[in-house]
Amino acid sequence: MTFGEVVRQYFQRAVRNEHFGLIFILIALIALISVMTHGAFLNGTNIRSLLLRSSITGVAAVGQAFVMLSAGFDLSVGGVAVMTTCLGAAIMTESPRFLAHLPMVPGVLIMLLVASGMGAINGIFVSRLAMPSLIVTLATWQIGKGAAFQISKGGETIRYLPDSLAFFGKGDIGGLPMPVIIFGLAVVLGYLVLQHTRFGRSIYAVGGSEGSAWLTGVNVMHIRFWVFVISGFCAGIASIIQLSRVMCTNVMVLHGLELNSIAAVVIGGVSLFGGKGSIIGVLIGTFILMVLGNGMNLLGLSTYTQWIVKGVVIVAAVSIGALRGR
Amino acid sequence: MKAVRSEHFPLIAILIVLIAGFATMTDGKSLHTDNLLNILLQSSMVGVVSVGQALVLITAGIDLSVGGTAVLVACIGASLLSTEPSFLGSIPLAAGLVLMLLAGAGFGAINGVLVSRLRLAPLIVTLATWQIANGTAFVVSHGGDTIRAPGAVAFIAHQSIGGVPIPAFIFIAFIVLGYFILRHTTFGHSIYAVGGNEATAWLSGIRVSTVRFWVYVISGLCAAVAAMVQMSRVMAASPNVITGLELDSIAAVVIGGVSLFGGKGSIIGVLVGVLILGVINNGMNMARLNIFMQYMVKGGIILVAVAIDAWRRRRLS
Repeated sequence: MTFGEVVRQYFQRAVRNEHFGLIFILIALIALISVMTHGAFLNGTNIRSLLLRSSITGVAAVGQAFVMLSAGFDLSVGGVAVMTTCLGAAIMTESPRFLAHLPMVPGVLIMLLVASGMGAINGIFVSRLAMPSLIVTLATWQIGKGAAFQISKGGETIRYLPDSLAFFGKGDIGGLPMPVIIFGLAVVLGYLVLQHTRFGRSIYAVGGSEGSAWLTGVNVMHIRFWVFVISGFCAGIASIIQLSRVMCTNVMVLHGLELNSIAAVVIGGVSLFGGKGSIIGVLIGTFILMVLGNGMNLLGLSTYTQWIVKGVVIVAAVSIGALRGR
Repeated sequence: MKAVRSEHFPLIAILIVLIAGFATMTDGKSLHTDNLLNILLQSSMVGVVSVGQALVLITAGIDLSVGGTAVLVACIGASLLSTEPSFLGSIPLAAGLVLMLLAGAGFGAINGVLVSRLRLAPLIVTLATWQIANGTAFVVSHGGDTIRAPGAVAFIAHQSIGGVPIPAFIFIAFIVLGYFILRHTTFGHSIYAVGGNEATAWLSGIRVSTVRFWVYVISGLCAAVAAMVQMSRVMAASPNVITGLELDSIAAVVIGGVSLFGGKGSIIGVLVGVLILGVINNGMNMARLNIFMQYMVKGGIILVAVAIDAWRRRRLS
């Protein structure tokens, strides 16, 4: 085989790869924004801040992908995450207005437990009571927001957190920022679980056809329950990164995390009807969404214009998915 | 006996218990005519939107965009009617109101096309158009300015006939219209058929995508009417108003017994659902619960309502 043939074969395989379209869009988007911002986009500081921001949305999107692959929705992630940051801040702060003053490690563990617990509540309603996940998580989103307000004593900003907490948001290992490492771990773990474990394959089965999954002996209720716990856990991780990056919090942080995570997952090619999609797609989807947002910021577009553009992008992504599915 | 066996009996009982409960808690203050009229006025906006939302839900769809649509339509309307020089402005009142209705219906039509022709999931479509509408509202209002509406708009919400405010009449009119459409027209029966079983509906000759399209148009139209009432109540429009109409209307419709899986529900149930939600909102306001606590209570109520729906479905099947 000549060198040319090898290259051609490699190229053909790349083009036929299911993620080719997405990667192509991402590269085109990066090129376009780099040109439009005269290279400011490719600046090291900008790339770094882009990666940091992507990690929060990205971790939540990994959890959201588990739920959506099982043909569910988790609209509660923003509410759960803001509640978790407020709770974590309230139990760890050294401010005399709050009483617990817990050290960092138990504080962070409690945050993860509470977020997973909220996910478990969603899971019980959806799996045992067979209620539509959309409505259940809409309600728990409201409950999370309300709880955040109560915990922060009516919307106060909670400050004076222990310095050791900053490790998750500002620390780095070998030059790689911690949030990026955490995001990377979430993607690798998500990939391994979905592709290489029986639990992961069962999620696809439940999302693809609940009836067939049940007939082949998959414990549908069990799967339905655990995907929500995973999503809650991921929302907890996202809230730890957020809290640790800013070292203070209030009821307004992480607003819109549910929409951004759903958008990332949908752009990444996960079917809204479940059973189709991959974590690699979600990773690329997250980057497309964040690059788009970052580019619009650099170009000085107002937040409102950004809302419009994002809305249009989501509809376009879903349309493409629907057309491909036909 | 007949009353007890009526499908709406449990709902009406809940409504009565709530009214009695709040009356005891407030020493009868909640039963004053002023307050009752106030509940009716406050319920009318959610009520009109709920009629449209009910039609959408009965086809097994969902319209999350209503709040965004209402805000956008109010901003468009106010900027068209406004006498301030910075806005387009000063068109005649009737023309402005007609344009508002058209804008609402047009936005609904976008949802309708995406859901019916492109067969996209209504949840995502309307989530996206909700965002688009909110963003556009900011653009229309020059980045979040409050647009003052001219005095002529006041007649909608600040006038009453025989002591009953006009929005209440609009609400009742929409209930009657919705009842008539669902019960006595072919279109109404097709809505149930599409929501009950799409394939069967298609096989029996119903144009499924036409029905799907029009329920979203109607829902957009209802949102526009709510926008008029809102604009007239505060005599201004601003994109910063968080109406929460999408959640409230879905809550009211679901409390009223419309199934989220489509094919089931009635407008009478929706009416009772809207009133239950209105009484709860009013009670929480009188008890001075802050807005976030109200969120929590409402979230809890939606969960209970849906759980009851799920339980009923299971008992039937």
